[in-house]
Amino acid sequence: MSVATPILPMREASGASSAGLHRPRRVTIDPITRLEGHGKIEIFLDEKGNVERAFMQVPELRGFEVFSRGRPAEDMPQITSRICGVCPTAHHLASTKTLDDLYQVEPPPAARKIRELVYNTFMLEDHALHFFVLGGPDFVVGPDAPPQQRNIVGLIQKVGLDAGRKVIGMRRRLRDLIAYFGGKVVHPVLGLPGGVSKALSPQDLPGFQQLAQDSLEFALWTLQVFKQAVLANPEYVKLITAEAYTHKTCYMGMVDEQDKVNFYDGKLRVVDAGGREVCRFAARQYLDHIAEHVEPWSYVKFPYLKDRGWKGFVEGVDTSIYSVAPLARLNAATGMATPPGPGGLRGILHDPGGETGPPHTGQPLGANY
Amino acid sequence: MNPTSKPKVAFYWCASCGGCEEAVVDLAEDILNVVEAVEIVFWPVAMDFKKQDLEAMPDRAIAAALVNGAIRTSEQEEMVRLLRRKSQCLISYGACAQLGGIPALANQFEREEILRYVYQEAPSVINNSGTYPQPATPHNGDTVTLPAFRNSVRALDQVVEVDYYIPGCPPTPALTKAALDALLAGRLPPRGTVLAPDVALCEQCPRLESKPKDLSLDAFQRPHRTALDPEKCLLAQGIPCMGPATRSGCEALCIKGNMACTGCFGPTSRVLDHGAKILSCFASALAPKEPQGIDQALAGLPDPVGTFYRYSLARSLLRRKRGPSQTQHFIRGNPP
Amino acid sequence: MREGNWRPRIVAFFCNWCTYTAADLAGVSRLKYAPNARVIRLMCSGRLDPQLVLAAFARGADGVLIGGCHPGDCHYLEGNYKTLRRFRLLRRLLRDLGIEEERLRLEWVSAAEGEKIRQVVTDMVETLRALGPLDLPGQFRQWDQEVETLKAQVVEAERLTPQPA
Repeated sequence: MSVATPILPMREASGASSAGLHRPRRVTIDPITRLEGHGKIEIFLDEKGNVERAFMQVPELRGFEVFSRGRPAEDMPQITSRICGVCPTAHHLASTKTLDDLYQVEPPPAARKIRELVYNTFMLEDHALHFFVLGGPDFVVGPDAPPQQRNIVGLIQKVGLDAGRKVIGMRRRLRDLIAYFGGKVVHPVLGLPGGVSKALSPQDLPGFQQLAQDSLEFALWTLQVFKQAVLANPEYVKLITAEAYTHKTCYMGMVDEQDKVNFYDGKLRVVDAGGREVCRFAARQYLDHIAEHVEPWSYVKFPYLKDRGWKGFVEGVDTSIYSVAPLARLNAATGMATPPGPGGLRGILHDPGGETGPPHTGQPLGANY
Repeated sequence: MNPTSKPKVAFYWCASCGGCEEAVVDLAEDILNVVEAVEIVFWPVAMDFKKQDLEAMPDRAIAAALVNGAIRTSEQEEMVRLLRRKSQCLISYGACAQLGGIPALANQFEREEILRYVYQEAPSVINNSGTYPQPATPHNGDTVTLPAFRNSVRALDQVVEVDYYIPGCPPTPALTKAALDALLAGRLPPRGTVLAPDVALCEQCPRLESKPKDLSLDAFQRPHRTALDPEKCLLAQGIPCMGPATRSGCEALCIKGNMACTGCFGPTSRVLDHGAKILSCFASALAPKEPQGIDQALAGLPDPVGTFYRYSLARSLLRRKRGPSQTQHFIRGNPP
Repeated sequence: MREGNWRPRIVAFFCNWCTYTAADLAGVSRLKYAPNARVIRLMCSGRLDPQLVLAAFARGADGVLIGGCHPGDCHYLEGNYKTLRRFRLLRRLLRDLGIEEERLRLEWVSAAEGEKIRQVVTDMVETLRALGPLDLPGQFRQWDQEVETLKAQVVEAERLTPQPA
């Protein structure tokens, strides 16, 4: 989302100045762009032009929780992946792991490794998509660039065609690995209770090992691009770390037994904005810890921490709202499970500009870095 | 080339998952050529153009609009009518736009049933006040609006006229590229054509040779309850595979993943109803001749609608489940 | 369409070698049976594509009757067994889509069983009368009313809006 320079189909509410009524000005962003999913933002401003109230609306419902009923359990990994075709692998594997639990079967080690390989590969290519195609253009092309240039095309113009080809080529290779096991990369089919549908041929292994090496280099190069394009620019760092863009909620992420980040398996750990643990639970206990709240102005429901109860759209240490995804994941864990690569992968935004940042931060502009 | 002289292309999504957008991005290196050859004027997932930019364009200014997703809300209807008006060529992209797709499985339920479960009855919901999404919510003398949620999910061509179809969940990069090339070269087939080979998937399946002429199956198997031979025809192993009734062009990707075809490419042009066609094939493939034996053999198909119409319920001959009450469908606004 | 003047419409797919001949026999024998069935002759009940059953319902049939040879008597050996399997699966599908199973009926009728034809058709008419009209074409129109209002509004707005230069 181009939060930095609001796109302005701004219009005065009708009758704004009549009869001494001070009706708020209204800013409508429709549709929201460069993310997966449908959304519209309505912002109401007070007389001083400050935000009085904003509504992030989801104008549609498909109803997976309804039409999944009556279907065979083993079809769920392929049905739920259609929740999101940008992250189908996440839904596919979450459903597959639920089948393990349902049938009380543990996948054999090879199957587990294949699932982890596919999922971690997905994490890499999906974050590359976010950085180069969805969110990154805001910074790489620049928050002041015209909206029609703040996209992958503008980004390639900025970083050069060779760099563009490098990104595209690496994503293609990573996605080919997912397709090797999953059949399709968008909506893979590998998940079965207790295993996967397809094995790895030994002769294909060296190619994947090479890919792993190349993708580590790619990740480090991406980090350099990020440092140069974003962190080296004091304006951007100021923007990202500004109080206006700070959002203090609880944070949820999956951790291993040492509280390190794990993408594939572990417990869900929730910490508050001060870094204190709120709860920790296995996925199958989610109904004990998470509930959903309904508002009249959106078709999407609002998950919150059940024990704390719904407290409204408030932030702070006591809020029942929690964030998920990269920044939340780091906040909820004590670190990455593997040693950092050269250049330090942990907390690039926790330590902007070289000063030690607070242990737990909530900058939504950097939520995916 | 002057950017304004390039043909204008728009992408839009309705009730969909974003997988079709990924399929376009999966053109990989070829997307650079696409960007070179066309001017993308609307693409919410990747570009910051807004609805008002679209409204400001002259009619038929867009050479081709590729629309994915099924149609469920009044907003989606408005958007596709707008895109239809602004475009010379409207292309249905992907299974949801062509056939209803996975979202059309909701056509087995009534609107009120869906809303009640999602916002009230689901075990994760706490909604003591009985709140439901509303068409209009007042806020300080203003209103915040939501589009109407229809009773039925529709395919794109059940709402506006469609010129071409690119099938699949999602379409492959190869089919997408071929369609864009044909469009740019002005070499398009007759209007209404599905831009994929018009033969069944079996014809292109790497396991075709192991498909016996007479299947004579004792029963259908569920895929996780049988050890799958990675070389042999899945139907011959008793796995319900939609291949015989499904259009090819997908490169048999699911089969290469050692799983059965679930029918996302829809039927060939000679088929009236995708589900009935595969039903016919599956019933023929069984050996039992007595009612009891037949029913036992069919127990491996616990969900006929979800299996036969996984992606095509909206575009089936019956279109949706007949509801107990047929009178409340077109009331705007949600239950109190 | 209300009960008073509504008559159930049945599309009957009859095998040439048995049921169709039986229907003919019933006619020649002057057996009186309900005139609600439109008979379509097939060379074998096994030639009946399930798509056509759905098409008959979608175009306004209240019931579909399939007539084939008794087990073991198929002129083509296996055709009627295929029909039986399709029929059993199709009934489950119809039920799941809200169409009463009784609206689809399969009967084995040999060429000599003119009386059975009379009974089956008369009985099916009674069953359908009790179920009431299916009227899918009317239902489709009703379902689509929810999109017609907006369509009319958009058409009107387009008529009134001058095209941007």
